[in-house]
Amino acid sequence: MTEEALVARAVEGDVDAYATLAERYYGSCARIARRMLRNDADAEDVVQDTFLRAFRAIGRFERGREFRVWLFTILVNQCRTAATSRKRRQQRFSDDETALDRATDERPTGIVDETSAVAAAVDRLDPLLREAFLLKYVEGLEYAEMATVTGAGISALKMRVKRACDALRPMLEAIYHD
Amino acid sequence: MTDGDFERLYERAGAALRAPAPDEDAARDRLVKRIHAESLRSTTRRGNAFLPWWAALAAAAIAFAAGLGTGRATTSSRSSTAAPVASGAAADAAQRPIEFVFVAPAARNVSLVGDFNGWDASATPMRRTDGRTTWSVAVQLPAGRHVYAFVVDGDAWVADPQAPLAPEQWYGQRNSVVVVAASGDRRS
Amino acid sequence: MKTTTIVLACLLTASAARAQDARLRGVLDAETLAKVTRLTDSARVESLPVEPLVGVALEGAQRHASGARITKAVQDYLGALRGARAALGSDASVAEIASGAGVLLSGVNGDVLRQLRTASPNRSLTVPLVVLADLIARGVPKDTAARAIAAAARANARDDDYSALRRFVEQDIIAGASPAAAAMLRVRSITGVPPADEPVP
Repeated sequence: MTEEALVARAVEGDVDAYATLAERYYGSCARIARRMLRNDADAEDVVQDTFLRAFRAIGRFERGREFRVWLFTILVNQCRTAATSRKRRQQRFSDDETALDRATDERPTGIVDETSAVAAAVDRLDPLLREAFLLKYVEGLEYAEMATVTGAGISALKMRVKRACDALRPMLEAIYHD
Repeated sequence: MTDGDFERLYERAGAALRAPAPDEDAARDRLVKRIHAESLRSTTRRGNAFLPWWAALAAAAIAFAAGLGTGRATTSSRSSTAAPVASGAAADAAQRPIEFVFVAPAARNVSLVGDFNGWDASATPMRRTDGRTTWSVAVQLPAGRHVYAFVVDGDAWVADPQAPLAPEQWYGQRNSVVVVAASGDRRS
Repeated sequence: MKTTTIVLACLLTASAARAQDARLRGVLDAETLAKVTRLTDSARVESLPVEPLVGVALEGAQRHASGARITKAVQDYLGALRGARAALGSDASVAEIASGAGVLLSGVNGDVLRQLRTASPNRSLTVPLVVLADLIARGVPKDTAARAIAAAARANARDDDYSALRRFVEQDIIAGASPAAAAMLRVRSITGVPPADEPVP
């Protein structure tokens, strides 16, 4: 079934159609959330919350819009909210931000594969740069779509992507030329 | 490198980050279950006062069938482990290879000890892997619960930081637990 | 045929017992060996798992624990195995009984095991009990941990769900969350308690 048909049925209340859409987009959303939050547990919570919010609002989804862009808009906002509230929670429990940064990196130390190494490099980017890099190079969004998802202008997004790439370049060169 | 080379570098990085996480399938299943549960709670759709009766019935039937299917698989698994315990035999005699991994870049040697090798540090030495920071060994284990630890440099007993802790501390230190499912999967 | 079966079972049991004695004889002093053997014989007569008890004795020997400490460990474990079997039912598997014994040794009441069995009559409780014990070991209060696992059981959680719960709570605790809050927060991804409603963009 085409995505357009699935979306149409989901809008009409077909929970199976919506669940199929959720299964199709789970991976993309999980990837974005994991890198934005750098914590598997928070990422899964945020992704679940995103799909449930979208489910409750699907009846208002306008035909002709792209479902993926609409979904990512909800997801990015949920990620930003979760990151802000986690930062507040961390400040309540610990003053050692370095330790917390290490603790939220869920990958075991010493085990290096390409995905882990690239993830570690991307994780070091400023959140807005990281977000822009993920939407462009991992999820393949066009700049106009990224503008809808993030609420930023296209020029600003191009600058964020460029700055992200400039920061990543030496780390990626080290990873891929070992 | 040219601009084109750099662009290919970023795209390659993007492709690397598209690799699914190991537990993604299970997380996806959890999401679908929550969606179905949510649909049973939800009573409004796009201005309609309620879901059509046939849609609610269908959703309920789907949730019920999902629960039944899980129960059947687990029932057969459970009955397969109900072996006579008086003989002392393992509940499921078939052995499965289970890999143990421990990160210890500074260690000179690491052994695996547990209830499956008499806690003998000389029985199961581990091998360096992954650029010499990681130690690993694969052991044949029967289905069931097993308690284990790592012995570093002959005398330091260490629990596995990646595994559940065993609650019993008979000798002042905690061990780790691995559950080998009847299907052969490790559960930790 | 029935007599032959019974004789064979007895021979096999005696053979297993001799194998265990050989392992223990190699590492325990005579006095400790005698005491531990009496305990494992009691377990065998009561149809309780014997291998976990032998394992505890062998661990003590390899850790160079005193004979008295080894004997006490085996004795305490035997008591916990008894309690776990009584709470989980006579058809509980070896793994369930051993895991249940661990939970009782964590200070949890046998009623918790009974409640879990009632909530999940047809699923293996090995993994839920392992996770329950792990949460308590990491500082989640016993009552909170028991409530969280019971809620997951009522929600028909699978083994993968319990494993994920354990990992998530561990990560949260490392990141500074209180163990109790971490457990109750993470179990909701299994039980499906909905998040607070906010407008959708």
